[in-house]
Amino acid sequence: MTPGRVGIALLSLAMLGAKAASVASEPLVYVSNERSNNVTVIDASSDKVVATIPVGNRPRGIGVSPDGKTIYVALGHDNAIAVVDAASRAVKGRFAAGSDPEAFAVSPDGARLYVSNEDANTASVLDTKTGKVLAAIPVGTEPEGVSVSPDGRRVYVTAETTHTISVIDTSALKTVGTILVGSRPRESAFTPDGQRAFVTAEIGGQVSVIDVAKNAVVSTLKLDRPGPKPKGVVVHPSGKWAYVANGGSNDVAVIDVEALKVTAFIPVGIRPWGLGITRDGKKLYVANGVSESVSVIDTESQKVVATVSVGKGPWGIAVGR
Amino acid sequence: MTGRRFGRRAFLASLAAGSAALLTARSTRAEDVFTVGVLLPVDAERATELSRGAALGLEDANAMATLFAKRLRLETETDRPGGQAGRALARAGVLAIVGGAGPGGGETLLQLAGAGTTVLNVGALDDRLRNEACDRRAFHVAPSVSMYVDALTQLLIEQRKLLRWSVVSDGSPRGAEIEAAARRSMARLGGSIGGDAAAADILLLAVEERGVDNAMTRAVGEGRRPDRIAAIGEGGMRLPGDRAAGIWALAWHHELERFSARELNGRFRRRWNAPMTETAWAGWAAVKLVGEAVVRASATDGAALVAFMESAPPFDGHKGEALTFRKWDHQLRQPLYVAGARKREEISGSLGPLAVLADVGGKNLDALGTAITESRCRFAS
Repeated sequence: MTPGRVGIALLSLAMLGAKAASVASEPLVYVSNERSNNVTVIDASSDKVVATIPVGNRPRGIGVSPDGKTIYVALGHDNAIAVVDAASRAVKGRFAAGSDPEAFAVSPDGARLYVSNEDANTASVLDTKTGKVLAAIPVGTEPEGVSVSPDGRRVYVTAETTHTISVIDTSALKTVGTILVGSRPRESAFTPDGQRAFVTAEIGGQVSVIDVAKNAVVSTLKLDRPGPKPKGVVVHPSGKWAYVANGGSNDVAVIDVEALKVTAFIPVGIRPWGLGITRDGKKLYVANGVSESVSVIDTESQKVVATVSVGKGPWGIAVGR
Repeated sequence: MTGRRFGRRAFLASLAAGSAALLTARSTRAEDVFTVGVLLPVDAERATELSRGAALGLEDANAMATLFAKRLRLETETDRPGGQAGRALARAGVLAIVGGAGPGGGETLLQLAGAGTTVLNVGALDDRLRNEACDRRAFHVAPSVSMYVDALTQLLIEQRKLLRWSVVSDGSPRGAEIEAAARRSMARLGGSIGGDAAAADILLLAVEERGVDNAMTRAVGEGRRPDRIAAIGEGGMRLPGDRAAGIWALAWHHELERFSARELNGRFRRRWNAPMTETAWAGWAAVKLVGEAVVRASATDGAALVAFMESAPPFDGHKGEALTFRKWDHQLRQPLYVAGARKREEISGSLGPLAVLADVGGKNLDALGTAITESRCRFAS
C-alpha cells in the first residue's frame, strides 16, 4: 500500500477464517514489543500469555477500539499503523501514518485516531473506517504523546522540544491552546471527569497537573527519586489515583489526585515505560522495556502480584475488553 | 567570510524559522524580541559549525518562544583579536553572548563577563576558566578538559583496566592542562602515568586541538597500537579513512541515536546537509538555553539570565539526562562519549572515521570534571 492511498488493505477472508478465535470474555492486555516486532496478548484473569501477534517493524504506540474488536499498533519502521483484528489476532490492514509514527490515541467513539507526527511537527487525524487523513494540525516541535479527553472534545499532544501541550479542538480540528509544562513531556492522561490532566516530563522529572477548563498548570509534582525519567501515565477509573511509570528509577509513582501528592513508589522491572489499567481499576500493567516483562500491580495493595515474560523491548500497553 | 555576512545569513535563517513558527502561534499579541550575540571564531570551518548550531538553536527556541508571544534573534560577529566585536555586541544591548569557540575565545568571554555581560561558553575547554579565572556571569556549555579526560579514564581505567599510561605533550598550555587532568584522574581511579612508555597500556596525546590529528598519525607511525592512543575533542573526525585511529572523548557525535539524539541529528542534517559536530551542538544548546530562560523565567536582562541558570533548570540536551549548571563553577553537567576508529571498509557516506564506543557519566555526572571539593572557583558576590 502506498502512503498516498490511505485505507485498510483487507486480507483474504479465508486467512481470517483459518486463524479465527473467539474474543475472550475476560479482559485482554496487549503489549507492543519494540524489538521483537510483535504484540503479546495477556489474559487478565490469569495473567498468562495467550497469544503473540506478529505486527510489523518497531511496534510502539498501541490502542484498542472502544468495542474491543480492533487493536491499533504504530509501526515506526514501517511508517504505518497496523490494524489488528482482535478475534482472529491477525493484521487485517494498515494505515499510512507518515514518518516513524510512535504514539496515537483512539477517540472515545472509535471513529478517529489522533497520531503525532514527530518529524512533521503535526498531529494527524485519521478516519478509522477509511484510513483517510482528515487533517494535519500543527503542534509543537517533536510531538509525542497523545490523549483524548473523555468527552472526545479535546486532544492533548505533548511536544518534547518545545516542552508544551498543544490543545486541539476536535470539532474545529485546530489548536486552541498551548500549555508550557516540564522539560521533555512524554505522555498525558485525563481524569474520568475530564477536569484534570496529568503530564509526565522525562527530563524535568516531574508531573504537571492541568486544569483542563483553564488550559493552565495548577500544580507541579516533583518525583523524588534519582533520575526518575517519568514516561507513561494512566488515571484510575475512579479518578482517585494517577500512576506514573518512572523509566529511570524503575518504579511506578502513585499520585493522590485529590491531594495532588505522590503517596507511594512501587518497585517494578527495569525501565518501566507504558502503562495500562483494567476497566474495573483492579490491575495495573507495566511494560518493563529492559527486563522484557510486564509487572502486574494490584492497585488495592499497591504490590506487584505477577510478572509476565513478554517479547523484546516491551513499550506500550492497551487494555481491551 | 566576514562576521557581517554570517550575521545576515543567520538573520535570514531566523526569519525563515520565525515564519514557520508563526503558523503555530496562538496569539496576536505583539512579540517581545530578545537579541542573543554570537561571536564566531576566525577559523571558517569552526565558525560555520557554530553558526549553524546557533541557527538551529534559534529555530528550536523560537518554536517555543513564539507560542508565548516572545521571539529571539541572533546578532552575529566574528571575534577578531582585540575584542572589539564582543564589546560592540555588548554595547548593542544583547541579552547574552555565545562564543569561545576559537583560540583566545575564552579570554574574550571572560573580559565581557567581567564587564557585566552574561556569556555562554561553547568552545573554550580550559580548566582555568572554571577555576581560578571563573566569573559568575560565565556559563560553560562546552565541557572542560578535565571532563573529557575523565571520560577517557572512566572507560579505559575503570572499565577496561588499562592502568599504565604514558603522556606525549606538545608543551602547550592545553597540553599541560590535559596532563594535569590525567594525573588528577589517576589519583581518583588508581592508574599511573610514567614508567616505560613502550610498555604503557595507553598513550595520551596532550596536545593542542589543531595538531592532535597529526599527533595521532605520528604515534601510529611510530608503532603504537591505534586503539591504545587516547585524545580529546574532534580532531579524529578530520583523519582520512585510511588513517582513522585512536580513542577520542567527545561531547557529541552525529551518529548518536538514543534519547532523541537521532531526531536532533536528523533536524540538523536536514537543515544544513552536514553532520552536527560538538561545536554545533554547543551552539544549539546555548541559544536554546537562553530561549528557555526567556520563556520559563521571563528573563529580560543578564541578571535574570544568571539567576535562571543558577536555579539549575533541567535542560534537555538530547543526552538522556537532565543537564544543569554546577553551582560551584557554572559548568554544564552532561554525559560525554568515547569514540573509536572504524575499520577502513566500514567508512562510507555519512559513516565517518569514528564510531561511538560508549557514553560516559550518565549515572553520576559530577564524576566528570572538577568536583566541588577540588574547585578553585570563587565567585565574586
